[in-house]
Amino acid sequence: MTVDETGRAARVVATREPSDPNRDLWWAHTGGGGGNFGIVTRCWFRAPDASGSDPSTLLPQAPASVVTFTAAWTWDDIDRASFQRLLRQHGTWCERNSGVDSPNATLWTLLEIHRRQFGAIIARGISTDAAAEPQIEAHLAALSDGIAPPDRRELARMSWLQFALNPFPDLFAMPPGGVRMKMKDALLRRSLTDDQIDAAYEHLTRADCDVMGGVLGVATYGGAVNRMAPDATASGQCASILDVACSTGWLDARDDGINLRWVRAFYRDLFSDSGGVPIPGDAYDAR
Amino acid sequence: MTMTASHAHRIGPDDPRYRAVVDKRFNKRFAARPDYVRLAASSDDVVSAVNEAVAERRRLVVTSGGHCLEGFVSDPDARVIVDVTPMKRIDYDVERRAVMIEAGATVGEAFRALFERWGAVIPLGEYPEIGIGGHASAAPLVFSAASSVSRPIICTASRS
Repeated sequence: MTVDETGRAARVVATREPSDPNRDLWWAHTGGGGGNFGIVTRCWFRAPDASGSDPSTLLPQAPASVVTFTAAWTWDDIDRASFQRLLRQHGTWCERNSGVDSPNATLWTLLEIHRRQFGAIIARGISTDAAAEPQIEAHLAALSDGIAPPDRRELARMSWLQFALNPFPDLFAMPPGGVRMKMKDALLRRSLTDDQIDAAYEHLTRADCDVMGGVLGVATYGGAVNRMAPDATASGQCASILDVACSTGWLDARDDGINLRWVRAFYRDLFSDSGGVPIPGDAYDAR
Repeated sequence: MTMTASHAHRIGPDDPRYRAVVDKRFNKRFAARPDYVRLAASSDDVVSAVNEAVAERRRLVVTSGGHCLEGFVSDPDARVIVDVTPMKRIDYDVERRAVMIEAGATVGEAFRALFERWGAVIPLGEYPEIGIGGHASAAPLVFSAASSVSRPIICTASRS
């Protein structure tokens, strides 16, 4: 639904088809922000390579079941050297397993590195692999080689729908009334450098500010999303292996300043080599 | 009067539904104080809401699940919020050979309908309460590892 130059609203269908005169509107909506060019009232979905007219083959089929896992390290077991090792090993795993045809494209994981004052570093994830359990164990082993193993781990198998309707319940748990938050993220085409890992260590361990909700999220990225050509859709980020997010959440408006300063300084230092932001190029797909 | 017509009415600050729309804001740092909100149950409702707001030169924003991380919807300068939440239809469109999902359906509602009707999945994002309207167009990411679509989690906007 768009508004023309006379101020009248009109219904429009805009598609990805090259022959569609409204293709630019579809492109703008999917790349320039949903609310900036009109109001989306409905979306149509079909897999790019789908043929036929049976809806169950026009979209990807759901997995037979999924396995989720959670594992946690206590910060007491993690010094600077183990922190560097954990992040380097995580980056190496992502570099090796983010390809379109990687057997580990069936595994998605999030390393949730809370600030030391929170006490824990948590790894979570979901696998759709037929051999999910050994795949998850191998991933955790690759991450914790040479450092303390995570001292807690839980695996659970469930149906796809059960997961989809209540994914990672404790990740999304909210206090009554909700939270104030700030998140700044970036898509990386290569793993974090040693300088970036050092910057992360400083901001996650600095004791001169009370930012209990501060966290660095490091999520695996890749698989089928990297099959697309960068110019095929408005989401041109098709060569990334990692999604990195600096974020914090808090309850009291009086803590706005300290939290915003912390997260902005962290992000700036993480990308100090490119002026404090992830400039798109060899290293970053940005967002 | 039909349901559609009743949904099309302006909802002011004295109506309990006003607060329900304004307070969906996921990030409590931001709050809107619009003149009114409209709950749109159809494309016709959206057209009429937009024509009305444009004619009266009121700045308009749109919301569905209410999960914007920044203040794009919960903006004190917004004078009208159009909430598309009542638009929840999910159907197979034979002519377009595609599954149609209305903007007010949540990710969870879409996951359930796709799975129960066709055993299918779309790599939608992380949290079931997110609305399709903002999610499909502004596209946060996903941990839906289905069919080797492994895409990650979290976040779209950066206002710094």
